[in-house]
Amino acid sequence: MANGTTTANGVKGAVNGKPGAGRQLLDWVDARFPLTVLWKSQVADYYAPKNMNFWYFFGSLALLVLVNQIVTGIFLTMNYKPDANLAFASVEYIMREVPYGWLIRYMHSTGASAFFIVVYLHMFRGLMYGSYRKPRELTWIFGVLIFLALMAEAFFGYLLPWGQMSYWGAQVIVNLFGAIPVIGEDLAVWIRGDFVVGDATLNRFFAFHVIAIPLVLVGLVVAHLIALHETGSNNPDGVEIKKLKDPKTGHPVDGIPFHPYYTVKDLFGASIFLILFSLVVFFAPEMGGYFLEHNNFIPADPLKTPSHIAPVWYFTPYYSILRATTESVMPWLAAFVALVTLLTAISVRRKWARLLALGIGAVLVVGFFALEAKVWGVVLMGVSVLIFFALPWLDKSPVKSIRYKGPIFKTMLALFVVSFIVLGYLGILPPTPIGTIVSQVFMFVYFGFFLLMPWYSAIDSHKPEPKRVTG
Amino acid sequence: MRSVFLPPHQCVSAKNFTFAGALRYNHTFDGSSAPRPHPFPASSAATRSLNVKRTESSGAIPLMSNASATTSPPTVPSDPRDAPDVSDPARRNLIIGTAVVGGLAGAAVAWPFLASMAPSERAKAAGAPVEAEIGQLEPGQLMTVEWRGKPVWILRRTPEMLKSLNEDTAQLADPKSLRSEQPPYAQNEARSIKPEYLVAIGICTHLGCSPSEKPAGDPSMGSGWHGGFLCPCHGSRFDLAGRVFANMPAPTNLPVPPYKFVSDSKLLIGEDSKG
Repeated sequence: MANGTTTANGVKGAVNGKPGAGRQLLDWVDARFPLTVLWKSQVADYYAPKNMNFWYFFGSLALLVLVNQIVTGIFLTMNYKPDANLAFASVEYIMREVPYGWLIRYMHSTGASAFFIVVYLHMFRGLMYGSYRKPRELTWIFGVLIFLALMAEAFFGYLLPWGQMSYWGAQVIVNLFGAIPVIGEDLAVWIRGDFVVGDATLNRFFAFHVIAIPLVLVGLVVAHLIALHETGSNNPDGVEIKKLKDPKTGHPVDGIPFHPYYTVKDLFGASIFLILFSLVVFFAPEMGGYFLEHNNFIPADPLKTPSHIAPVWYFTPYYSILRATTESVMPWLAAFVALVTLLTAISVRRKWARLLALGIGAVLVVGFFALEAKVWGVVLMGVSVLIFFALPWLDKSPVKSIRYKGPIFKTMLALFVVSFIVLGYLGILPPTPIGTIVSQVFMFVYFGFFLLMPWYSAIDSHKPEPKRVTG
Repeated sequence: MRSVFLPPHQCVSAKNFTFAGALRYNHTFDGSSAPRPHPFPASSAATRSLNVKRTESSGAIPLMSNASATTSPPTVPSDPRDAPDVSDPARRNLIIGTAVVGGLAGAAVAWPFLASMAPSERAKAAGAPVEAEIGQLEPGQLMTVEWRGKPVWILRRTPEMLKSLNEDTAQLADPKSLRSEQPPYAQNEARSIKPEYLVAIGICTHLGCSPSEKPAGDPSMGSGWHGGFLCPCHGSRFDLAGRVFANMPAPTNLPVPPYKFVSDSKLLIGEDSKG
C-alpha cells in the first residue's frame, strides 16, 4: 500500500525531467492528505455495474437537491426572523422586497417537494432491484435513517413560515407524542417548550431545521456513501459484479469506472431534472396548493383551525394510516397480528423465538383493545415508516431483482405502490366515511407487503439469476 | 481514463482503497515500507478497538503490562496500538470504571441542555384567568376567548339546542362525561354551571385541532344532525355540549375549563369559586 510520492517522473507537464508546478502541488498535498488515493478509489477507479439504468439517477439527484436546500437555506436565514410576531411578515418580506428573495424561497420550497419525489423514486428502485439485500443492509439502514432525518427536517421547516397550515400541522404532529401513555403530555409540552405551539416552539424548530438536523443529514449521507462504496452498487439484475473479476486488472468485468462514465450520465440526469425543477420554480411554484398549501398564506391563528387541514403531500400516506386507525378497525388489526404471529411461530425453529413471537403477538392483541385507538394510530403511523428498516431481513427470495422474482412479489410490490398512492391521495382529502374505509383496506395492503413478505417471498417462484449482468 | 494524472503503476495503492481498509491498516504515503512509530506512546481505546485483530506476541505494551516486566524489551519498536492486554483485570476494571464515570459525566452534561427545552418561567406564568363579557351574546351565538393560548368557546344555547342534547345520547362515546375532563360542577348533561351557557376549550381531544361549529341541518353533516362541532383534521364530531360521538378519533369530550360567573354578564375563565 505504500507508494505515495515515488511518482514524479515522466508526467504530463514535466520540463527537463522536472515535474510541473501543478504536479508538484499535487505531490505536496498527496504526501499530507490522500487526495489522489481518495479520488481514484472513490471516483476514477471506483467500478460501478455497467448496466445501471434510469432508476439509478435518483441517488445523485438527491445529493443535488440536498446541496440546493443547504445553499438556498443559508440565504433564506439572512432575512428570515424566527419570532412568532415577525416570522410570517419576514417571509413576505423575502418574497416581495429582498432582491431575488422570491427565487431563493421558491427554490427552497420546490426543493423540499423535489427531495421527497427523488427519495421516493430512489427507495422504489431499491425495492425493485433488491438493493436492500445482503451485503447492502447497512447502506439501506443508513438510507432509512436519512429518510427519517429528512422527514424531521421537512416537519421542522414547515412551521417556519408561521401560516395556518404551519401552525396546525405542528400542533397535530406534536400532539401525536401526547398520545403516548403516561409520559405523553409532559413530552409534548417539552417538545413545544410551552403549553401550546408558540414562540418558543417556532424558535427551537428553527434551530433544529437550520443546524441540528442538517448536520445529522450530511453525516448520514457520508455514512450511506461509505457503506455503498464498500460493497459497490447493486444493479437491475441484482448480480454481484465483484464475483467475476478480470484476472489481469482485478476490476469487475461487468464494471466501468464511475468517472467518467457515471459522472457524465448523472450530469445528463441532473440537466433533465433541473429543467423540470425550473419549470416548477418559475411557472408553478405553488403546484396548485400541493407544494405550498393555500391556507399557509394566512398567518397562524391559534384560535381557529382552517376548515380543511392536511399535511404536505409527502406525509399524507402515513397521515392516512393515522386517520384510518379507529375503534372499528381494531378487531381486524388484532386478526392480522394474530395471523402474522401464528405464521412466525410456525416458521421459526428456536423455542425462545417462538415464545417471543407469541408473547409479542398476545401483548399487541390485548393492547389493541386495552388502549385507545388514538394511541395505536400514532403507533401504526410510526411503524409504517420504521418498518423499512426490517426489509433486508423480511425478503426470503433467493434472487434480488424483480427481473427474476416471481408473480407474487411483482403483484405485492404493485399493490404496495397502489396503496402508497391511494393512502397519499386520501390523506390530502377531508375525512369521509367512505374514504376512511378505503384507507383502512389499503393500510392492510401497506403492512401486508412488509409483514407477509417472509412467507410470500419464500413460496414465490423465481427465474434463475444470470451469471453476469445483462445489457 | 484512470491514468489521467498518474502512470498506471502508480494507481496500485488507489485501486483497492476502501475506507474500512484505510482504518485497518497503517497507510504511509511517503513511500517507505517500514511502519512508522506511532506518535502517541499510550494506546487509546479508539485505536485499539480497530486493531484487536492484529494482536501479536511482541505487542505487549511495556508501560502498562505486568507481563512485560519479566520479558526482555523488544528489539524492534512495536506499534503501541497493537495487542491491548485486555486480560489484565486491573486494567480492565480501570477501563470499565472510566467508562462508567465518563458516561455519568456525559449524562450530567446533557441534563441542562434537555432541561432548557422545558417551558420557561415566563411561559409557566402566562396562565392568568381571563374575563369574558357575555352580555351581548345572542341565543345560539358562539364567542371565542383566548385563555392560556387556547380557544375557549362560550355558546349561549337556545331551548331547542338544550333539548337536542337528549336525542343523541345513545350515539355518544361518553354521554355522562365520566372519562372526560371537566370541573365537578360541569359534570352534568349540559356540561355547564348554567345550562344556557356552554363553556368549553375548543381543542379536539384527538390531536389538538380546533373544531368548527356546524349548525343543525348543515348538509355536509348528513341527516339527523342536531348541531354541534366537527374537527376538520380527523373528522371527530361533538354535540352542543362538546360531547364526542362514538367511533370517532377523539377519545373524550371537549374539556371544560374551571370558570365562574362574576355577574350575569361576566365570566371569569381559569378560576372557579374554590380557587
